[in-house]
Amino acid sequence: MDTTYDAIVIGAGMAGLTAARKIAEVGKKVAVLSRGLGTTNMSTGAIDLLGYTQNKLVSNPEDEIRSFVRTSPRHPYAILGNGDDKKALEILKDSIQEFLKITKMAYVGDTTRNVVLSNYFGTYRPSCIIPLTMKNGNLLEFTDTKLMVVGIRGYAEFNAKFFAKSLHHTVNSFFRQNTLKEVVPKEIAIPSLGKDKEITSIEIAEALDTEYAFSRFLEQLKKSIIDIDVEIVVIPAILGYKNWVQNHTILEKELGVPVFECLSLPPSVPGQRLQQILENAASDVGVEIHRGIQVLSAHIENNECKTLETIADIYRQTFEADVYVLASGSFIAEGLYFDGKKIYEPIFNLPVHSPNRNNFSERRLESGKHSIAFAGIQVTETMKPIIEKGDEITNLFAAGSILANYDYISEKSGLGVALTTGYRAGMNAINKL
Amino acid sequence: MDRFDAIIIGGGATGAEVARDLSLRGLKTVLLERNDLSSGTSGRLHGLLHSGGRYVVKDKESARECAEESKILLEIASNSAHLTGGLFVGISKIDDPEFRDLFLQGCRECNVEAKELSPKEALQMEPYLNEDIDSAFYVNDGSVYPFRLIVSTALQASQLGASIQTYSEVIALHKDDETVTGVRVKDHRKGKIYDLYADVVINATGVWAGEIAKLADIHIPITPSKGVMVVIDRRLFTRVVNRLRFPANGDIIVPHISTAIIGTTSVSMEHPDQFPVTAEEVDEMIREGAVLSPFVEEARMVRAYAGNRPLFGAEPGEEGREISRTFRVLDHEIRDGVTGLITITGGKLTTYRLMAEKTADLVAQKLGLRADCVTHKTKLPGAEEHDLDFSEIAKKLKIPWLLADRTIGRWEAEAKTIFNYMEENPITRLTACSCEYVSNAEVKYTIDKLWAYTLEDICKRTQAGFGICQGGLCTLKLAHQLFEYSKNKEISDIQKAIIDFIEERWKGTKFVLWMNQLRQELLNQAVFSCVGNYDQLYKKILESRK
Repeated sequence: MDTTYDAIVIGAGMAGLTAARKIAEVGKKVAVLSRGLGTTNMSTGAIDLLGYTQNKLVSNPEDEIRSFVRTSPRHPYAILGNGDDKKALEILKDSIQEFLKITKMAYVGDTTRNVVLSNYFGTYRPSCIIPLTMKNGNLLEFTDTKLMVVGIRGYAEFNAKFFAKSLHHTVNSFFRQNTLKEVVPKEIAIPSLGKDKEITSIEIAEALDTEYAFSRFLEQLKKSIIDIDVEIVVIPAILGYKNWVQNHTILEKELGVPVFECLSLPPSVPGQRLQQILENAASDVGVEIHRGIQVLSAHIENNECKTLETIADIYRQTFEADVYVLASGSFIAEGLYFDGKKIYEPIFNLPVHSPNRNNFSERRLESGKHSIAFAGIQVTETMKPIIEKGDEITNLFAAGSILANYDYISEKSGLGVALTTGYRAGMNAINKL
Repeated sequence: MDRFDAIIIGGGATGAEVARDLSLRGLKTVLLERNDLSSGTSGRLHGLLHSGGRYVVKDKESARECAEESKILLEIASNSAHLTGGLFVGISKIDDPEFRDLFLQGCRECNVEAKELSPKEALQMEPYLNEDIDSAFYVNDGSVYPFRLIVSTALQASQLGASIQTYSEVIALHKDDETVTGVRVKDHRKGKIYDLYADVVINATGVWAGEIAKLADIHIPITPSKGVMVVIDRRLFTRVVNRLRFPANGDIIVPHISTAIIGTTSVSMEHPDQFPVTAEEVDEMIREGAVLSPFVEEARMVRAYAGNRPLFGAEPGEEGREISRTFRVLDHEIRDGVTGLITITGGKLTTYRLMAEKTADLVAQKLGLRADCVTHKTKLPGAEEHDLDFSEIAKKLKIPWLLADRTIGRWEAEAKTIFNYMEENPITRLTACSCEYVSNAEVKYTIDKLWAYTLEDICKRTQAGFGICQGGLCTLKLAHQLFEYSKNKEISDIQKAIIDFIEERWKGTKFVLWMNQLRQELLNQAVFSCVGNYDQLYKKILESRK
């Protein structure tokens, strides 16, 4: 395996793959070193830009992000523009445009308008740039709407009866303008997956990529919709890994009504699709993705990162590049560790910023109160990690959930920050090259 | 007007057993519990079935009681009490070597069987032990899963006609002169207040006994003594392992199915409702646990919790461990001149049956009833002989063998009811919790038959949600079952149940969030908040129910 590159990116999630693609697009030789599968696999597959500020639902993410430059200058979105709100928005919009392009228009969305989507709990949440299959699920467009929700026999994670009742109650009691007339639950079976056997979303999605299972699924759906005068059909997020866009188009055409997938639990099928889209787009421009490689340490000399020491299984290897992007993620991906006393970043031993010694709040569901969520690496306006004592690693950039000063959980901003900062880190790495 | 022979207040081990005992003697009883069964001290302990070894030096009376009672429990409650065996080990240069002789002498005096082992033998039995031990004894310690023990006890009582009322709090005692005639009850589920009357009212509220007695203007000196426990993700030992020393903090590890519990502490508290866990106590448990086994430090801490022991008769300035752990039956007629009220308090889980027997004897005497106690020879539901074979059942029902095996392991003979559900309705064969292998049928069983009204109630009975994910992946699936099978529940009640459960689990997990368990928690937050949006919606959901 080649171990010398123009740029090495650590981490294969949204941030790392976006940065890597960006750098490779200008003809540079880029490698992504990834220990696991990429945490984007565990996402909902919908890209949230900013769902809440101060616990209020955001309707126009652009407006809020613009004001961050003044109100929360250390938020990653504010850092994007280096104090200039126009610049921040420009980077945001460019990165989204490019993302939409690489999805070959399988994603849709408008950065000035959040949509509100339903999920397996029968509750709702805002999001912004979403898979085509979710486009007709914007609850803000429903008035006295009659939905039919389809459950699949043996797929225990999604219960159509529960979803129907819960969503009906939630929308009608919490929304001022939007209402649901009725949500009708239906259960169908996919015969090729066996009867009364427990099945997972992964098995269903893989089956629906085959024509055999999909045609039977469609047949069942058609039968169940007869006699019910529904306006929209809701399905769990299971429409396939390869053929999901096409499957969705066929469903809408054959059923004659809009169909949407709702947001599901990790590891979700749309999250895995998104990971695949990002990997394909990076590979298409020549990025080499090396899996199962853990970066152990970095060799720094004269404020420059020279090499990375890695281990794969029992094999140690040294990698070398001119620039490096650290997109190793937060605690889940083990880009950060917390040993009960101290939070640390294991590769470069960068200082970790943490706002409060009390990492957790008294209540679990207290939005924005778990200060550990704000912990991470602080970066300069060029996305370089801030190191104490005036030190700097001149050829290192950081992006994604390893960044400090934002709470993806309560803000609903995870993939949006990853995408935009990854994009920005990639651009800065190119300048450095 | 509802009339009973006896009203029993308190749904812990003792209260449930008093109900069983009196029902077996033919009395008509009602059991009132302000929360769920075993939600007090009985469900907040390390689940040790005492051989008595722990007490042979300092509390010989308790040691004798434990030695006898643990044998009986292994007979009558074989579905929730298990003879794991236990070791007492002295750590070289740390534990006082003189304790060894005191221990041996105490075991002889109290009829606690103990067999001396060489350190090498002990290490062969428990390879994860600290290698630096200089003395070791084998004793007949075991483990108890208190939730199922108490639920099975209540089940038998109810099969004999007892009425089991959970979420029903006694808010006043009815008094006629100096006679207690009944109770006023607040039903927290239905929001109703009602009255019940009986010849005898039994206060079996353990550490809360003083609070109930106050309602009759009686003072009972009880010192709540807090114990903190930490659950780790692995069964480090096959047997219970104790330090061979005077009882002190963190000197025991009790194995439970696939986990182990490190215990415990003893801190006097002001009020029975007060049992906070502190970071220092958790650190101490891990530090002391690591003295018994260095592998504790590698383990993943799953949760921490605490409970209050009811110590009777503690005088000011007397520390918790000094007071005898034995129990008291208080005849308030003799003690305070108030008839119709009996209090049972003190004691420990291992002796709950004996405590109930003595209480029921007094009730029988008061009511002029000639019926002897038979609880020591009456097996609990599930403990009777059975020939259930997990591989046959797995084949017949087409379920994973681990699911069949775990179901039988939890319910023994009672598992038949669960397998019948599966046969009747194949959809109940699906797994609700894949950490602990709990089926929808088992969840349905607890809702139908075992007074499970909330997600936490289901989990305590089945162990669903008690595995390493601590509910992250099964909360929604359990909520589906609660929605399908519980009667008269609105969808908003289920949404509230989800939120309550998320917060209830948090009480134990928030103390141990580092390394892998922190990753787990963030994954759970991804489910509850990033997908379900409960962090932003919980207030609205709770408000919408008013």
